[in-house]
Amino acid sequence: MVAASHPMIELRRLHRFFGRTRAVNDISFTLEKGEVFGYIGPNGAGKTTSMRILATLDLPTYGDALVDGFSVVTDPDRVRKRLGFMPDYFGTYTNVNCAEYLDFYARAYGLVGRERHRALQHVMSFTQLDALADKPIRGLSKGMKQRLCLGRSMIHDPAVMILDEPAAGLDPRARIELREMIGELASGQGKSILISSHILTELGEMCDRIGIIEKGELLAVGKVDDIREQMGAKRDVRVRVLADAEKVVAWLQSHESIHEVKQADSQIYYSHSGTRHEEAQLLAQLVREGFEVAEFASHERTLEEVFMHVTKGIVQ
Amino acid sequence: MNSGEIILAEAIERRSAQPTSSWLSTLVDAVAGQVTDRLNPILVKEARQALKSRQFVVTFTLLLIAAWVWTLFEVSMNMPGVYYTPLGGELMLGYYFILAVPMLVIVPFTSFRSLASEQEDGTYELLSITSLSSRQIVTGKLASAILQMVVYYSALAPCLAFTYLLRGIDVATICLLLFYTFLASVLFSAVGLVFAGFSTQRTWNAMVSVLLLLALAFGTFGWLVFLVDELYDALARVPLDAPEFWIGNLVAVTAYISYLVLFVQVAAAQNSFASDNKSTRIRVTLLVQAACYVGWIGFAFAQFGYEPGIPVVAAFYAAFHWMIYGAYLCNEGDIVSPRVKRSLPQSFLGRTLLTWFNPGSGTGYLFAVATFGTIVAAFTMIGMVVEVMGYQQRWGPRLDELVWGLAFLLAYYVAYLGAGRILLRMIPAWQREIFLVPILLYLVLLVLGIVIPMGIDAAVSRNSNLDYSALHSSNWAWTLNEVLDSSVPVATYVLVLGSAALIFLVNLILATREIEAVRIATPQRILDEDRSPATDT
Repeated sequence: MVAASHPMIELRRLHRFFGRTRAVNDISFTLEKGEVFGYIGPNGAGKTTSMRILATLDLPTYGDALVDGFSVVTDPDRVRKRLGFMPDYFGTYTNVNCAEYLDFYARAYGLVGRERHRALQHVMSFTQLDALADKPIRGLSKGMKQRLCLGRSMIHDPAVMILDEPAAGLDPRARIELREMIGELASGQGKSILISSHILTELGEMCDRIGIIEKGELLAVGKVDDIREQMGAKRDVRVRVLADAEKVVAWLQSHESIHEVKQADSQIYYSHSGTRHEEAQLLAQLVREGFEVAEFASHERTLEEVFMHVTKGIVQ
Repeated sequence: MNSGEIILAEAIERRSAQPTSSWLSTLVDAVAGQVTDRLNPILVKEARQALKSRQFVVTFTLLLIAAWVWTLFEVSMNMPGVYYTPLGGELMLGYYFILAVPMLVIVPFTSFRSLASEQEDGTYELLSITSLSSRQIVTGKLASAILQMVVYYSALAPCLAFTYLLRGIDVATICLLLFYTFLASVLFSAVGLVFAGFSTQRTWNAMVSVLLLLALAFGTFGWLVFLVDELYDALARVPLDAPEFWIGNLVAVTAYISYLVLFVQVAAAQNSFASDNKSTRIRVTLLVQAACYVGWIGFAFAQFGYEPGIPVVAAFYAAFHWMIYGAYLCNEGDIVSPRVKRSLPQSFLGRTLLTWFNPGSGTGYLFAVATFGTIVAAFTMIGMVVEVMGYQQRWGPRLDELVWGLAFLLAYYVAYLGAGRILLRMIPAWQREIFLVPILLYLVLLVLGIVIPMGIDAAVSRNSNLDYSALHSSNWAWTLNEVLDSSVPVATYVLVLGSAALIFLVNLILATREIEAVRIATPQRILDEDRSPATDT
């Protein structure tokens, strides 16, 4: 085994234009070994296009994408050996059962004899499809088909996996099981995973880093906490006072670090862009001013809130 | 011990662990596993699918029923003569018609649908990112078609044996019939795979399907007419020990192989990755085919009495053939991908001789012109041989008419192909990808070349009986006819040959960037990995 001295995935100023539409517009980021990277963006943002380029299904207009140091433009065959791609469609055949389907892809990836049998056993066991080996694909549930497709994408034991909307349409149980499998692939097997999903809460939990893309441009990239920081580190605060709510609102509005103050009866909501320490000092000051504070609660913005804050919902 | 031997050993060991399973079946499984490891994965998958496919079962059953019905009908209609009259030939013809439908229509169309549905369902994309090359995918589909053909043949095997027992047809005739039908079916299947490459866009799918069905129906009808009218009688008449018969067969098989290889190459190129070299193999195949073609014509020339008319007809067929492939080559992109640049010829000699095999519309145009020019030159030389050796011609033009006729044919080829290439470059790339665009463009160009001068002449002279003049120089059909009769004005020579030279020059200048492309170095890491493929990160 030779230690990789380069990122497992690297996008270098990637551009992809379809006529006048800039589906991907100057995107760059890297992904290290064993890392899970969440790719977030509204529909039509350019996630699938950039994933397809990485999977060697499309060519960039400008720029390059590298997998394990190999360019998708000049060395797609080498990229394919290292990459497993699970698209947002099933891509299954009629008149084929689960075992035959996986066996076919194992053969297509050049696995023969004992190696193929071992790969099949591992994948069927990992995706818990052993019991369904002889079941026709058309009779599988959506969750089972997703497992099968995940199995197909990992049959040749790739170092990098690209999963496009793997949890779409799955019930909560299937989603949790899929999340566990992805976690195992990254932490247990050291695979680098680029994953896109609309279920942001789950991405927030399983991803080491995320990238937010809209209108073909990467708006933010980094750890979820870092992006929160980049967004101004605002926290949403709720205060309930026993009296003089209007006065409290006026008092809060006089502070520069306080924004978006709203009042609903005795409840006051605002966002605070300072540190937690400053937030505590503000509370102490509020009490010293003589306001009767009955409740004080603050929470950091969730990934969904960060996403809504960063994106504008622009569709090309 | 290799992996296959290990599996075999494991399978035998498992015998004791699984007392209920048959030792023989386990061994057969292991051996079958080893054999299928060496087969194309597409063939293995398609065979598995076909065995469960309703379409296959229905076709197979209908074939058997039709064969039985025909046998009973023919025997009962000829009772009691069946005991003393040779009925084999008649019966065989019926079986042959029954077999022709699945062999020449259903199997090729199934091949087409097999590849087209992979593209529609997105499974082709998943296949294309495996270790399989587009050529392996196409040949796998073709192998699957051949497997179906073998199954259909095996279904009719008892019937074919029955025809022999009834006399009136010999084994050699039966074998030749089946052999040529098999070849025709494989070729039609390859055509089906080429058509599948045209239907990548859903909007074109229905039209391509209809076009293919029409082509298959026309091809099957033509094949059956040819078979019944010519081949079947000829097989009965021609003594199988005549050398001419076998030389003719050899020519037919050589022509067949060149087209089959060409269609497979085209189908593979259509389905390969955008940065791959889609062109060089096709050009090599075309060049070999052109060499064979000149050889076949030379053979025909020697065989049928040194007629100068032969090279004229052959050159016109070559012009038609090379116009289609010229349009295909001129429609290639102008940019040589970095992936292809790694394998460009590097030495002076290599660059001089092999640059025309590099992908690109400019080199494609020059390659087509150079090859067609060589064919025309070869045919001109054949004409000269006639003159020099003083053979008496029975039909065809004189030597000077032949030389000018072929020169004009080449000039028109250079001019129309070049003009079409310039126009193609003005069309956005995504529109050029639609398969009909280049063909339609060239068709329109060739028709306009005829219609415009005729329209102008008719409008000016107000006379329905037009006379040939230099105005009709763009009318290739009329001008070539006049040239072969030595009756064109000097201005036509200047206009046709001059425009061809000018258009060639413009295209040569436009191809400069492609010609100037040089090899780029392959990264050291790639070279290292190629040296030790087992090394992986």
